[in-house]
Amino acid sequence: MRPYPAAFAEMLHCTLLGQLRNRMALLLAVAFIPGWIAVARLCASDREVRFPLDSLGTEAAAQASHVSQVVNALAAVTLVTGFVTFMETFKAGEVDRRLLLAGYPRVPMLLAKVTAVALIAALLALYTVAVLGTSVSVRQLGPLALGLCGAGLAYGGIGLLLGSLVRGELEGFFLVIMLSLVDTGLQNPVFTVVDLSGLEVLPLYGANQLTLAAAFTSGAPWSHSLLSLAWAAATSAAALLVFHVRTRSHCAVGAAATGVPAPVTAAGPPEAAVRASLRRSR
Amino acid sequence: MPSEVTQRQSRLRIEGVWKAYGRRQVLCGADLDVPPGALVGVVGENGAGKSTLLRIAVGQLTPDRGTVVRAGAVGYCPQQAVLNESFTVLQHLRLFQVAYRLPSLARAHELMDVLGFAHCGRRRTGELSGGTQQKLNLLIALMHDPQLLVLDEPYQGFDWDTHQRFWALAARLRDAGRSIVVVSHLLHDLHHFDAVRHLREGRLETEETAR
Repeated sequence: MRPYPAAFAEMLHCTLLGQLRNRMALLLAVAFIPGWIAVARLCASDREVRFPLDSLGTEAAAQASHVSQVVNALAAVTLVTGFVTFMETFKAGEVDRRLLLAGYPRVPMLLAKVTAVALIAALLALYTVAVLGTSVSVRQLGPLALGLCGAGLAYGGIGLLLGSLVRGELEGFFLVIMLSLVDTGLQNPVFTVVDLSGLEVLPLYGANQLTLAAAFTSGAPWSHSLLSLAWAAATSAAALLVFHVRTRSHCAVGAAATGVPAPVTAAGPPEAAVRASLRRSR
Repeated sequence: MPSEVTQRQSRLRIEGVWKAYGRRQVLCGADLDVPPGALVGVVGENGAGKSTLLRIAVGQLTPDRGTVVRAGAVGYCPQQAVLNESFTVLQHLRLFQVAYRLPSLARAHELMDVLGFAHCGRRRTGELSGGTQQKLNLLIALMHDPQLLVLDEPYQGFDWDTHQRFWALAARLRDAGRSIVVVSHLLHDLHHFDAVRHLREGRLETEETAR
């Protein structure tokens, strides 16, 4: 059995099955996304809204209720992926540390978790496009799905990072919700009345530009999808770093020991003597 | 030289280990030597630092000062069952099979029989009783047949029959040359040990055993 592919496949399999068994996650995905889009459809007016799209260097115009539905769809996708990924990473944290101590390779473990996030983000994006398509006359479905998937990836990465970083469950939930509220609120064209600078640094900027352009114009700022990928890559790398720091072995391998008997019924990993020699002054 | 021979033969040697949490000093120069084929008990009051000592012994925690030398593969059973409640028992076994690089799960299935939960393979650990979760927690430490076993109150929640089977299994492993360190609170268990070390004021003292 080759350790790296097997480690990746087993962790991906278990993580996806774990997500499927998470009833709260399923409820959020199935009910919250259409529910939050419906809230926008019912609450927003039909007046026309004109808003600038920096990525295309142009202005777009659409009904406020349609814009609100797309913005709420983005918010729902970010909340669901951020929340679900955070919960999974946080809950699995202790077992993951135990697995690492037992010899599970770190990189395949994290790659499997990132792949699970990508699959979940892609599924949620397709589902959200299908829901949006019933009430908004979307101009370009492909880029819209890509934008929503990018939003899921960015917040999935954030969930992964927070799940490895924070000590309490409530802190993580609060941070995911607050970040998503600020991110979508500041970039909501229906509410934004002044030009704000610095929005480019927000996690949702690329996905927001691509999604709005896809929904209401014939242009598609493809390069902006890379911003979401960059956020996902940066947060995943940071999660790996946190994971590494929290679980680094404080022991260096030393000389092999003698006098070790053979296994009774099953073979264990190779013998090794491990030496922790820490003589730091207190 | 005799001391060098002893050092080479030790499966676990802890020398002058110190550990503090903030201002609270937990370990103050603790020493422990576990030779092959020994079943060693570590006893002490609540909060004496037994779990801290074991976490340092397996490399999960860094000592502030001191030396830890381990020889051979280690199996660690933490005090609280560390399991993912969304995963089934078999999923746990497959993940740890990858971690330990085991060619098969034959030994794990044997141990499931011995510990009496062979019928629970497809159940999620969140649905299992506390005692059965603890059985899986222990099995994960044993399934790769390590040379050194570090067990932190491994029989919490076990019924009497399983408790007895655990000690029979521990004796068999010891007789086969494995080294086992067990944290225990139960006075009636002390006769199972070859040596008992009492953790008192951050140091380990030798305690007389009935054996």
